[in-house]
Amino acid sequence: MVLSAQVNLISTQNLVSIIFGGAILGGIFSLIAVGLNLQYGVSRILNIAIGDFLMLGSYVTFFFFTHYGVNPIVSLAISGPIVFGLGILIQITVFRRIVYVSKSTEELETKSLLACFALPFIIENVVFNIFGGNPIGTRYLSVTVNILGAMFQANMILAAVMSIIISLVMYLVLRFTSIGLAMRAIAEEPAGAQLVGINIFKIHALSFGIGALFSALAGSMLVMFYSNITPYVGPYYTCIALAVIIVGGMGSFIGSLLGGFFIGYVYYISLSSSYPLLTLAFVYSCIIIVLIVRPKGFFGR
Amino acid sequence: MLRGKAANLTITLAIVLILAMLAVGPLFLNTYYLSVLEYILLFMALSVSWQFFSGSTKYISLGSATFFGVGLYFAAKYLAFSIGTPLPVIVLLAGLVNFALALAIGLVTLRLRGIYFVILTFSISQVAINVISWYEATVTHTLGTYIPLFTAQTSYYTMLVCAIVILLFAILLRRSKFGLGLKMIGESEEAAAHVGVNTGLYKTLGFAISAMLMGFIGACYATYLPYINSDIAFDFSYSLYPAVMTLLGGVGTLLGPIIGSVTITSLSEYLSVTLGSYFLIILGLILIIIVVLMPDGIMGMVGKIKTKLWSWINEENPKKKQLPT
Amino acid sequence: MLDKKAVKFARNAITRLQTVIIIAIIIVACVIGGVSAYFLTLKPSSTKTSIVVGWVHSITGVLGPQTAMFDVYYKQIINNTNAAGGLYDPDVGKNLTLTYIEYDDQSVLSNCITLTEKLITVDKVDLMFPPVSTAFNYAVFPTYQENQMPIIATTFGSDIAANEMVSGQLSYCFSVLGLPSATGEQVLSILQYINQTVDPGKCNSVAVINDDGQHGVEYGGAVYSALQLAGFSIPVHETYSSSIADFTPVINDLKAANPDVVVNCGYEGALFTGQCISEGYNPKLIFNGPSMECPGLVYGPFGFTKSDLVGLMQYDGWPASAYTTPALAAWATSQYGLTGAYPFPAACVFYAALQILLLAEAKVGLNHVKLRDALATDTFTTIVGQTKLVQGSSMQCSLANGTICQWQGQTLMQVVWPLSAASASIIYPKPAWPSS
Repeated sequence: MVLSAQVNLISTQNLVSIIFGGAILGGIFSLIAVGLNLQYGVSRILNIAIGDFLMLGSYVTFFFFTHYGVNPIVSLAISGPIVFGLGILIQITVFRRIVYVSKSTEELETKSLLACFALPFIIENVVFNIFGGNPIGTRYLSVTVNILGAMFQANMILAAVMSIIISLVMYLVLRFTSIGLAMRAIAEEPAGAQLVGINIFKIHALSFGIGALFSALAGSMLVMFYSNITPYVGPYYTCIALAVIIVGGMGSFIGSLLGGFFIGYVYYISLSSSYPLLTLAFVYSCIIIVLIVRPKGFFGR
Repeated sequence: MLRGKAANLTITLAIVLILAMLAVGPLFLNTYYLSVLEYILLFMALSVSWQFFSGSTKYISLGSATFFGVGLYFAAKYLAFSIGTPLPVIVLLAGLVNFALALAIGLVTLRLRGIYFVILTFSISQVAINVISWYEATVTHTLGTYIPLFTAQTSYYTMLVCAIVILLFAILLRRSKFGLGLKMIGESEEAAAHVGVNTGLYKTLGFAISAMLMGFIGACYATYLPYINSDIAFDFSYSLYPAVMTLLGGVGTLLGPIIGSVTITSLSEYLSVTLGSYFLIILGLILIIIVVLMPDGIMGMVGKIKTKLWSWINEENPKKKQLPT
Repeated sequence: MLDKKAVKFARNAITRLQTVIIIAIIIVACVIGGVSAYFLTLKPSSTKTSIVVGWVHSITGVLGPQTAMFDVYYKQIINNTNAAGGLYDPDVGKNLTLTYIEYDDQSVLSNCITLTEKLITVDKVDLMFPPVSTAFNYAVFPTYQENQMPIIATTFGSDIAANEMVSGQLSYCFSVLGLPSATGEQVLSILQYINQTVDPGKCNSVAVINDDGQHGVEYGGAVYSALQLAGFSIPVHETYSSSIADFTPVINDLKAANPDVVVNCGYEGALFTGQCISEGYNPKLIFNGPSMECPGLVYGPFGFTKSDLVGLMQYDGWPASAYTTPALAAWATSQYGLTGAYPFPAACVFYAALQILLLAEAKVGLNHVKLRDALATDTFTTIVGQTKLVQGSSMQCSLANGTICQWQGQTLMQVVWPLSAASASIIYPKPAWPSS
């Protein structure tokens, strides 16, 4: 009796650990992917540098935490707007020009993609020259919480909950506000949207900025519990976000939300399995399989 | 600008001069500068190979590192286990392995276009790194491979000969029916199909040949490196830089990748030592400027300047003609 | 008419201009070639005023904090030697100043290889100090061998390379620390001792976890083989990524398997220990790898307190000393003065290794072949006493010969194994984590 109870406890603990662990990561991955998806869906920019905006958010939070003692949760209100502004600035200076120059959507996408490859060089090395290359992290609110026998850090749970809330807020904005309507209109029919008087350039800039904003918020939350953030951590999270939107479907909000959880679970289950070193390989394999079988993704149009 | 005999003379003289300087390099330069030259030759070969397929057909591939890495690893493992085989045989085998690999990958991936193709080729190269490093860490328990050492001269000449061979390959195939077919696929795949070009076959073959060439230069580079592991061999730079260099130089032309690769590698070798990471910032800015302002790269700008200059020279002065007599 | 002629002249001018330019380029190239050939083959001047030492360190990047410590030793020995009047060069017949060239590889392995080659072939340094970490040393050995530059690899442990040192393929490379297979034996022997004498029969299941770097793979593999051959049960044998951010899945596996001892081979001991504390996992013994043995790191950036660490073992503390002799105590105090922290028990041999290189130079000069032979055969007097390098094995020294250390609540670790070299007896089992 005792033995079977023990066995039960172990598997429940494992199951709980996986269910919650995957969901925590999934919430954060969804947030980044929602941002990336917004940028691609509305402004047609596949922002390969989104991981670097995440890194910027982390560093801003770290800076305010170590120099001014600002609570990392409060600094979400600081890092968010800063990176939002930076995103809009980049969109206006670089991508608007590309829109003028390009003669077709495909050309626009390819050129924007190439420009996005250049951004990480600049952003990463500027941060490197300011902060140095040593890994950073803040150990804030790292109290462990015991849920049904599995241990989680309070800050991770908080981060996941906040991410999901932000994603849902974005969903409401897209669904019920006029700006959201404008974004959806431009995503679906750019020419028609302009005809009815929507300022396409303003919306492009706004959506790029919001995408950067979400990524930075995710970064600020990540630096709360991870202590291995370096200036070069951007591409890692970009690839995960890319996997999410490919699996979920590029251009689909629901796709990036659910895709985030899917990839989060793949990631966490792989880490807990006997092959933790193959985690990235599994994530990339998801991309490969989806692209081969159903390139549009699960919810793609 | 030059025409006829003068043009041929200039070009031949320039090529002979460059080849002569490269050939006698080892007599004057020490091993460090030789390795800088090898680095330049490497990226020149990679850019030309990349441009052969991706430049012509506009199927942007970010999987060059996969084929380069496979060539490198194949040669390294082969050399580590049996040193008797002559080097050209190893290089050829590495190329053939890559050809077969690219055929397999191409059959699956070439159905996709545009951004999907880019992401797919990129994902494949990342899976390769991950799987190989996992295998080395958990199964063989030996990270990386020591490569038997070659003299600096041997590795330099190997790289030089290989780069020249790849260049000749690209030049010959460009003008052939195959090369023109690839170019047409790049301009309009539907039109090419209508005209009778077997797009599927051409694309797959083109992709495979491009991969084979990358495999050649990868195997040759193994003579230079003393130690490789999966991070070194499959580094993303080997995927990204050939594309960037070709873009800088001009995607459509043959001189484009050559100019782009020579410029960026020689600049980076010199500047990254003096400027460190500032150089990468500058590189990023240059790339953005190219994408936004110079979509046809350096060769495109050169072409535009030539046309403007030529038309300025040839232009009869209209005002003088209309002077009242 | 004039315009047409002008145009034709202009066309021909461009043709002529280009030909002239091409010929000019040829002439200039030949001149440059000739001049540089002359200068490159010029014999270097024979008056030598300084001895140049070179090294490549990961000053920035992920390995920055660890490397910083070694930087201190390197610069310290150069300053000390210069303060004592310089390094003697028998070929010149007098003391010369030591200068150094230091490059940053930014924690990227391939940079280390190319920068090492640059130091040796372009900057033409006289002596080289090694890079930090097993992986980096492993990668640059062929470069040193090819250029016939002797290298005493201090922070290095690899059986594979050690074999090549012994067989002569890496004859210019020397090892200092205990190598993986030897470490495996030492861990086995202390665990057997505990299982037979201290806690009979109750210490026989061991979990081995390691990172996927060169160090982790080789040391983890060696410990695993040694333990398995001797009959220990190994319920968990996992490899985790070097860039691991969260040990929770690993700790969950460990909790489920409930081994008596955990051996963690890798550089991420700080994160592992911290998460064991926060998740309340407390096996009877935990062995950690490099970085958890440095007081400067554990009490500094890692943020542990003395009571946090009581009972933690270190498998890589050798040859180790608790700085009980006057010479060593003086050295440890000087380190404290320089860095604000005491060096860990095996650090003295890093300094001793550098001393050996300089002493060998003073004896035979800068000829690398003679230097290499001297390093292989001679005995030198350093801060750890009479010291001799043994290729492919750990350094032999008359003073320090501990192999396994343990934190026992002081500033420095105590040497607990072998019993003949121990400075304190082992604390077993590990006490509970302090509740904070």
